[in-house]
Amino acid sequence: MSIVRFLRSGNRFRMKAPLLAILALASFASPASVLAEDRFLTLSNTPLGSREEPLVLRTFLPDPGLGRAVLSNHALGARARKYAPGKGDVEGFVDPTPGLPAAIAVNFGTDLSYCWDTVECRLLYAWRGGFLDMTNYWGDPAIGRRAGFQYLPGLVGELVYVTEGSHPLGLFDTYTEDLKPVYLGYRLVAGVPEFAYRLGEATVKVRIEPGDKPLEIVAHYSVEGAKAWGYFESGYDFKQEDAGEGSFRVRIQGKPVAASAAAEASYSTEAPNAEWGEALFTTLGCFACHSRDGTRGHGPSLAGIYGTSRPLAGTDPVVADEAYLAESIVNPAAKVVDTFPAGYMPPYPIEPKQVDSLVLFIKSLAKP
Amino acid sequence: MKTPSFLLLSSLALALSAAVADESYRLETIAFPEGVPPEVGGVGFTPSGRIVVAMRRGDVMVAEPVADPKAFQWKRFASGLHEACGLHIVSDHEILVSQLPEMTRLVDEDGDGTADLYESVASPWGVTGNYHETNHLVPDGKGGHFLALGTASHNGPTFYNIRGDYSKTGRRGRNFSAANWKGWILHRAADGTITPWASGFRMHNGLLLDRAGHLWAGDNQGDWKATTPFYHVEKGNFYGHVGSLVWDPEWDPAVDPLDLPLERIAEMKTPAAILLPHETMNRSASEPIQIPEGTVFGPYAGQILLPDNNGRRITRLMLEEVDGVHQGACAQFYEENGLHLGNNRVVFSPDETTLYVGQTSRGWGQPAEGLQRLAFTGKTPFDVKTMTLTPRGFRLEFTEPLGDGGLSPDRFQFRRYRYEDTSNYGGDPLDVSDIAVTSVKRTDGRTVEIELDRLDGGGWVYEMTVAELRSESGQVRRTGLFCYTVNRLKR
Repeated sequence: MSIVRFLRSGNRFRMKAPLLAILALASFASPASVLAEDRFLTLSNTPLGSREEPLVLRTFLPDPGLGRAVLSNHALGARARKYAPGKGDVEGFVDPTPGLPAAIAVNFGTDLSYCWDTVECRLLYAWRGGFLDMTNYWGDPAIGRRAGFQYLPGLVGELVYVTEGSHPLGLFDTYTEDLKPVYLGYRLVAGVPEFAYRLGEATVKVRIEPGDKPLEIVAHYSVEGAKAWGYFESGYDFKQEDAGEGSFRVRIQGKPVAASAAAEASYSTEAPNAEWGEALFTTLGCFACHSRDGTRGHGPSLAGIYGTSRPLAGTDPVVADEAYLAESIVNPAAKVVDTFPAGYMPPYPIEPKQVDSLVLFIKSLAKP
Repeated sequence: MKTPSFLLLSSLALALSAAVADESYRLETIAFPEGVPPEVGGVGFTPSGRIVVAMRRGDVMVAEPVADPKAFQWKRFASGLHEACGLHIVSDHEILVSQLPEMTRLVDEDGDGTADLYESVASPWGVTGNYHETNHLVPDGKGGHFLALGTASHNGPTFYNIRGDYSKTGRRGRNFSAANWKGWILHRAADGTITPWASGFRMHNGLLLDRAGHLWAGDNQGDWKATTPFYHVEKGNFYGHVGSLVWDPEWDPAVDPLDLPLERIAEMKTPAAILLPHETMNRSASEPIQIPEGTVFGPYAGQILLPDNNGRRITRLMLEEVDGVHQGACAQFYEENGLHLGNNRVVFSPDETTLYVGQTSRGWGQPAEGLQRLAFTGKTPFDVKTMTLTPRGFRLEFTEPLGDGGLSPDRFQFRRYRYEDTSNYGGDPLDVSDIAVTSVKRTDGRTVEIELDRLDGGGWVYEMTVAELRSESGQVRRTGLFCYTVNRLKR
């Protein structure tokens, strides 16, 4: 079993505990159910459901570097000055950590687990091999309290699907850029949650479960109040099957997701530096739209971009200098490169040192 | 600030306040299935008399209460909830629950005893990923609810991507309101309308709407709370924890509430109805509950019990209205004698004879968990039933006629102190001084009036230590330490 390296905070100290927990579980996790009689949650920090009796758990969940394009309906937290009661601001900073505040995890035993988010109202990622290690949140049963600062469960197993870009389900007659999905709740259908959300006038229901083939994820959708819709998965083979009366099935073929090398990065946050920028590139999820190897994505590739001339729609080209790169992070709508959609990238109101670090990282990327 | 004499008095007070072996209340511990940690986030009863317990790991369990505390047959009603810390049981098939990210309606649609529908009813608040942002709800009696939303702690993180709105100013502080409505009470009307009700709370871990329609909330000692307060909550008021102010629609975003002068904060805030001296009375107030009418639960009908989430005690509150302001006294109701730490949620059985106390403090304090029940044995304790303010001192009404023995002034020792709320975590009692008792007289068989040398309003805590008085029947007084918060003087 390979190990998921998803906590790409770049901060080694904070990563250590969850990674160790996952390592331990990778060796000892047993597929046997650890729920007590009548399926109560117990002192076990690795609860596990089954195909017949799925386990639903709402909790803080890890963010495997989903990025702002995926998490566009979340607000962006910011670095804060350290504060001491009675003294006020003191030396140092507290950075936000990666995590999902309001998602739901569903487990079908060792075959499949997934994370569905109530803010974005979509499947965010899926994994196999186990479910969650709750030790960081539920604490060590021996001492009865939480073990680490993160309060963040670890994923047990291997990621097989991570979503990218905008919502895979587009509702053409209701969809506008600023329409936010509204989570309505779920109903258990043979133990599997059928999530419901509203988008404008339309109501969408989706029930997700393992398919018949290894790593296959099947999503049963039904749509009311929309005349036409389109479904698209980038990066995964998928098949859409009509199920009649506003219903359809999507079969997504999951595959092992490579762990990011950035996970092991270590950097200082005293002054801007390219290593910190690289970590931010992962943590903020910039990679979801901007490649570092020249591949075209939702946004321009960053490979060798520094110093080049950027063609803008309807106006003169500009040179991608530090000021241009910084502006494109903080206020992306100011200058949009021709052939890329305007208004796609949200502004990133991050600290100046973080912007400078990202610029240094972008400058370090060679031409492909 | 503590003087040696204060320390001495403190330990004396502590010794006096510890209850003796209890003949009036019987405590039992309810068992759960093997391996299930009873981390109780919520307790309630269904109309048919089954007890409902929400566990912080996510399960909602139900059982028929039986005489044998080890023989409850627990069934799972729902699961998968995130820190479910507020329950409103609508029927045997429907429960409203406030979990950390959402108010959820659980419905058993097919009648098989487990919920099928997990409907998101309301989630107007932000979620930052901080463990401390738990909540509570109470019905408003008109089909709506009040929701108490705790602030985040600097002992936990906030995420890069949060639900709701983020405030950089609100993020400053020891406990903080980085996301919308943290440190607030919201009202959700039956039609779904959300109204910001009151602000300035740190960790108001429990609300009570009493039988007269008053809304009450405790809070936890910490920054901006020198000691544990108990508040009468009214719409539009601010109760002192400053971070929440950034979410007030009227607030000037250029002003960081942490930079406000203390005098300005003191002007803005509504004082506590009762201040509970730290540790001697309460450390971390949780859900308040009103004692049933009659004598079914002993002699304290209508008073409020305030469990301590960080102590083995349940505190009794004796409230009155003086000059239009709520204030009153606190004393221990039940302390030690087998009671667990972590007292968090409470409910009376439908027949009102038994108080069920749910416990948890995993992640919040010293490990503690469980479900216990406390029933009145029928033996009325000899105790100060009420302590009320008079123009010159206090009137004590006892539960039983007093014995003849000594009612000299030295049987009642008084001192007073005050608290100052600052950004520091908690605060010592200030300006501690002994107050001379000038007269003690019995006005009838059960009532004693005490006059003091000095009595001032404005939030002074008057601490009274009662010597081991005996009743006519020879019982020794149950409780020895009382603290009355004088906001207003009686004219």
